[in-house]
Amino acid sequence: MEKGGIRVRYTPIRKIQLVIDVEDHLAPVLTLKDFQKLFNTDPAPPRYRVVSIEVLTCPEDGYVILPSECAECPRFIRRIRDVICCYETPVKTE
Amino acid sequence: MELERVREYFFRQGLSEIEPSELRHLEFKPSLAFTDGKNRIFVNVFPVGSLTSRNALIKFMMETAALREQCNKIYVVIPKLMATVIDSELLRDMGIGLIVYSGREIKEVVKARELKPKVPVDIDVLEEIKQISGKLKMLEDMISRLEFQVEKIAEEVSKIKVVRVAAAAEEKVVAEDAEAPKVEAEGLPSYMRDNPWLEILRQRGSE
Repeated sequence: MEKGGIRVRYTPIRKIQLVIDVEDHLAPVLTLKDFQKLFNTDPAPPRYRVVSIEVLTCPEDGYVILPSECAECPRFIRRIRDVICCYETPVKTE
Repeated sequence: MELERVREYFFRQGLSEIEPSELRHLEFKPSLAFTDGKNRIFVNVFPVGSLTSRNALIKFMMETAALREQCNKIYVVIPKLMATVIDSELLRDMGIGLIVYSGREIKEVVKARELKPKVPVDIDVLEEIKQISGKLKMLEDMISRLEFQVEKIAEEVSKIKVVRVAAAAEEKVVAEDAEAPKVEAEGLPSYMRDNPWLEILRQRGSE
């Protein structure tokens, strides 16, 4: 609950590290953990690239989105560490 | 564009803008500066155009951190897109306020904490202090020279005094000697009275 009795939702952000095979585009994208488990080694460049992505489930429609997509939503307030704060109902802003 | 909106936002809070000339001594200048008559409020705006530059945000934050010591409150104004990436908790811990803007929307999402600014040092004042300390040094030298001369003069005066006292004492003795024969002459025999030889002999004796 924010000041003034406005209800706020706190949605956690999930960070996923993905391994991308740049030589074989048909190879499935694996998480770093799965890759290490499967090949018993770390993904080595230049063939493999590790990218870290952040995702969250929008509490409004249940879709998985990037945090940057929250910028398009009028309910978004701010990010606190790995949590997105947004209003339960859209509020009038200046 | 965003600057104008931010300016408007702070004007609506009853603040007035500080003239840029008043901030000329600062190494880093805030995008905007306001005052409520007592406190200085700095506002650093991160332009949308800088989003593509990797180092722009680091530079922006470092400048903001440097400005913290020069004002009572400081705000950073960032595009909404960037607010989804920046952890507002870090700013809160530093006492920095956060304002988010997007389109016509402008929202204060983290309140700025009251800071204790260091006393601003004006470059002109520094220069003046340098000049004054130079003049003070000159005066000190002059005083020590004068003290030396006064001591010398005092020594000479005391020497003159000693000479004058000695001379006065001598004069007194001479004067007493000159009066003496008259006194002695009253009880002397007739052949010694008004005898010029006695005076000559007395002078020889004193020589």
